[in-house]
Amino acid sequence: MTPADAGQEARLVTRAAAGDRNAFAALVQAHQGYLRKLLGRVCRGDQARADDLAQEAFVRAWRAMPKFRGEARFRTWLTRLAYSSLAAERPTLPRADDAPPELGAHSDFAPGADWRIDLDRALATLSEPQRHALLLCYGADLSHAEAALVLGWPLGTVKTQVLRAKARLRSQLQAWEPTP
Amino acid sequence: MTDPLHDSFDDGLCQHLQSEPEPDDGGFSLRVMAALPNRLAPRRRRWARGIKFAQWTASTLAACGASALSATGAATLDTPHALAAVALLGLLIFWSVPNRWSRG
Repeated sequence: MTPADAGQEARLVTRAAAGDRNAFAALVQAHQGYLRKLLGRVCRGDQARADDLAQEAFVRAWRAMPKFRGEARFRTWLTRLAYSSLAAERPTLPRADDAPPELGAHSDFAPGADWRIDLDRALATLSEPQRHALLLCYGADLSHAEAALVLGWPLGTVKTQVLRAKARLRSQLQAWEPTP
Repeated sequence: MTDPLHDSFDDGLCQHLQSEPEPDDGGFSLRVMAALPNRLAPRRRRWARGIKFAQWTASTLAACGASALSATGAATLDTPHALAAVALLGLLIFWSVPNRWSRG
């Protein structure tokens, strides 16, 4: 997001917080695609459920707009609201697990269509905390600190879960690693 | 992202997770806007609270006034007192009727 975009969004947020429905409609239009795509992944492709969660997040955002102080990006705050709806629906998720990290080797390779299919399969084997951390940091392009805010975890836990997720993916996709 | 271990695997992962196109709006924004509850702006909310307080104060004063006028001790009320009591009762009823300003 460019500074100009950020300024425009800040103005929309201020107007929406003051009760301007048109400003809020502009925010919904700007962020609905991002949120529905992310929640679609979180809900493992169940787009109808993802849309319900996204709608609930927007309605909660509208109610809570006057309390939004702009300390986080609007997108991060919105994602946090969506995740709290998800957690309310499924109280056991997301939570941190204690599996030991499996660190793999780093290497260069060119991902192709087959690699993506295998990656999707590997993603399905991740634990819920690992999947949530990875989706937020890599799929939603949030920083680790923003992901920690969304998930309500300590920053270190998010970093650990991301590392574990990547290590697990690497081990699942070992066949794609070029041999030295 | 601020991962010091960022490499081509990370790039591939980012690319894969972000490459999927965002779903079309398809009326989603309209559905959200239709589902939004009414919310008064903070200034209007303060105004509505002030109006409500004034309404309660006026109603209380009117009730006290009407009681004082009715309790004169005389067997019959004279016309000015009776008119004043009726006017206060009228105001009491008028102020008790909910209106759009008292919705907070």
